[in-house]
Amino acid sequence: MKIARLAISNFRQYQSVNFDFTDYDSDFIIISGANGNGKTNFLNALSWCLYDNENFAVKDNQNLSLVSRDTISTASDSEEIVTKVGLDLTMANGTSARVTRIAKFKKNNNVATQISPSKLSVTVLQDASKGSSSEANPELWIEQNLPKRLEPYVLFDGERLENFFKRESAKTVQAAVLEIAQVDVLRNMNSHLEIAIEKLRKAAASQDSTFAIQDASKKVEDLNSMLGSLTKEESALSKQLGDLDRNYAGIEDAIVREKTHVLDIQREKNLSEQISALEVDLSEAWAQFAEWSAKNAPAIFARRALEASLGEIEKRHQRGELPPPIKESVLVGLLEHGVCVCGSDLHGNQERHDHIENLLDKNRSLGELGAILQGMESHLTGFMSRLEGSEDTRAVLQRQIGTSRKKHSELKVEYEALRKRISESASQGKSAPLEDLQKLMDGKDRANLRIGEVKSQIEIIKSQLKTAQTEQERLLSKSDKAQAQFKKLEFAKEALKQSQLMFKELSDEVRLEVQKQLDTQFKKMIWKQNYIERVEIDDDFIVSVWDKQGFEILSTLSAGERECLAFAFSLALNGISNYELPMVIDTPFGRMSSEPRPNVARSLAESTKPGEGHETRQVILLMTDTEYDTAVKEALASRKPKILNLQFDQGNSTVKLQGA
Amino acid sequence: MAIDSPLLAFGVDSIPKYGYLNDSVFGGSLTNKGLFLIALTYGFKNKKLVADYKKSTTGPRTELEEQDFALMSAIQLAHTSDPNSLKDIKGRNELAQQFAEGGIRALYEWLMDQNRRDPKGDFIGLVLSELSLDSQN
Repeated sequence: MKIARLAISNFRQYQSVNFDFTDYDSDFIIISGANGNGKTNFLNALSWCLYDNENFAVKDNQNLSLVSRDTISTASDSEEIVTKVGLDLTMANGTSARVTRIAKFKKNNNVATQISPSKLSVTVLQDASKGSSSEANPELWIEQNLPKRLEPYVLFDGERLENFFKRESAKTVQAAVLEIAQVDVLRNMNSHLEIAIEKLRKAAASQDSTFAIQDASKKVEDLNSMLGSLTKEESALSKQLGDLDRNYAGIEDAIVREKTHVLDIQREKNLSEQISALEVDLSEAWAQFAEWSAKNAPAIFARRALEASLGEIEKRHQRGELPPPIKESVLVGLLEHGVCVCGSDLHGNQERHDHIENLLDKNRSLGELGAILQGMESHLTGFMSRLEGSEDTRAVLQRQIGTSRKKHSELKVEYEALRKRISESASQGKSAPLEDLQKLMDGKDRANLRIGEVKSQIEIIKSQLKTAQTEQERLLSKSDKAQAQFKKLEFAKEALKQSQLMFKELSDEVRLEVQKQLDTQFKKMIWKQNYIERVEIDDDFIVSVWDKQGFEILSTLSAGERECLAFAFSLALNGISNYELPMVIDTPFGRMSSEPRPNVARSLAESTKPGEGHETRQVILLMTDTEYDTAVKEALASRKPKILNLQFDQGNSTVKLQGA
Repeated sequence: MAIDSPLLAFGVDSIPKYGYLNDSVFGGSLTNKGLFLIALTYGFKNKKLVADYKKSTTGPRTELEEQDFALMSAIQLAHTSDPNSLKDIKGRNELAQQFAEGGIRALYEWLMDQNRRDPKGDFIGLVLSELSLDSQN
């Protein structure tokens, strides 16, 4: 089904505007406009035309006249004003229909008062040869083709979707799923069967008016009802225990993570201390090395000069031009005492005596240059020996620094990795798993206790029921008249049982399919894919969202996330429906931050494309310029959307339409 | 014998560089004499001889010792390749001062290199690389 045209006259700020979507190649239409330019009233016009209400009007506007203010101001007093919305629909089977709603008003003292209830008409065009026919019961036609129950899955106000999945809406969810999958036919049949059974039971009892039979029947009925309630409670408790067990696994993981986190923090502290100590050692070693390098730098830089001078001195020694560097006063002292430095008696050793005298003579005749070179020798030798002597210190310091730096670098790598892990663990928030575990164990104890009580009550009721049924059958067997009715009753009961089983199987099948599609669509749209584990629709059609930690988080979802869930639900319903309903969304991204917008837009565009077994789903988005940003434009580009622009003419207080 | 020497009077322009260099590379730990000898030998190694500078009369002074004069003489001999030049004490002192001036400027330029992130560590590297070059030779 597609909206082909929408003609709005004198409705809210629309004086007369015709939207014609038949000329466009695309079924993806964007109507843009600033706030107050009539986007929401486009939605209201649709809702009013189909269902005679304005679900999307803000509370303050609900009591205002439908009539456009400009029309009221230009109309003369007592003039009749007609508000009209005409909606042309193209049906999936190729037929088309025009739905029109008209309301009449009269102007009095500048106020338009409705003078008769609004009137709905539907004209259906089967094909050109057969012509059109007016529906005798237009409300019924709407109920059959676009029932009001489906309105929440066709017309959306993006700013009001956050309450879509409250727990109490489970019945609405169930109704929508079953309605859209057309399983509700079976449920209606079951309701009829239940009424028929009740009638048969009363008829059977009335065949034998004895109080005993009536009492026995009533007792069986009451016990059956109690058994039903207890069985339901037992099933709910079992489910609760299952959920708790699932949470238990999540909490166990959290405890392990918590322990790891604590150990990591201890290791981080330990590493930090080791690194600090190492940095102190390194700093001291560097200081010693700096001292060594400053002390030895002159000898190292001037090494060439030192070696050249020592070479010159050595050459002169070898030529005998330069005596050993012994001071003259020392040589004179040796001769005076007659003892050599080696301890020999110089008086008895003429050769040695002459040698020292010779040295003394050489020293005295050295000359200026020789004295300078001799003076230099011991100092230059000293420089060289100190340099060679400090070589061990240098090697030790260099090795020590190298080892420490390597160790420091290794510890730093481990430390940074640890810090990252600690930070990631901390950013996951919530860390009181032991408390959670205690709560969970308490919950399990309570559920187990109650389930024990319920089981024992069930056993008692079953036994009582068996006794009551035996008594009932005994009494009935005495009454021939009642027997015939009871045969019918037994047959109806069996039919109901089978039909209920069939309904359960079908509704489970549909529910699980919707759940699968909801899960897929929601994960496509959401920007925290790694955070969401799954979306579930349980036996009672309660929608729940589970995170990776095993916690149910529906109530903690943001407004934007809930909006995604609502869209995903509509798309999931579309996936199983035979209706091929259009989707009109006002302000789809108004409550969303910029991250999810492209995801949601892309998912809307992709999910409504033609697919296996279904045609394109028509989508009309009513957006402000802010919503229709570059990222959204890119995400929707694959559908080649047609863009229309709503302009509000302040002078005439009316809306005009422009093709953008 | 310690000799009070005017040799450590670097050029007027080099006085602030002298202090900055000492702080940045040696953490301010070097004595005036220590820095003078490093500048002298660095200037000699890199053949940085600066004759044209205005000598400071108020610059840092310290006492040189005999071994320091021996080092200066060794540089004089290596520079002139003439043993007789050793007799020219005034020339030796002048030459040492010119190498020290060249050395201090070259070291300052090295320090100011835009990639210099760790002057202390880099100076150790400089000395070590010189040492390894020497050992290769």
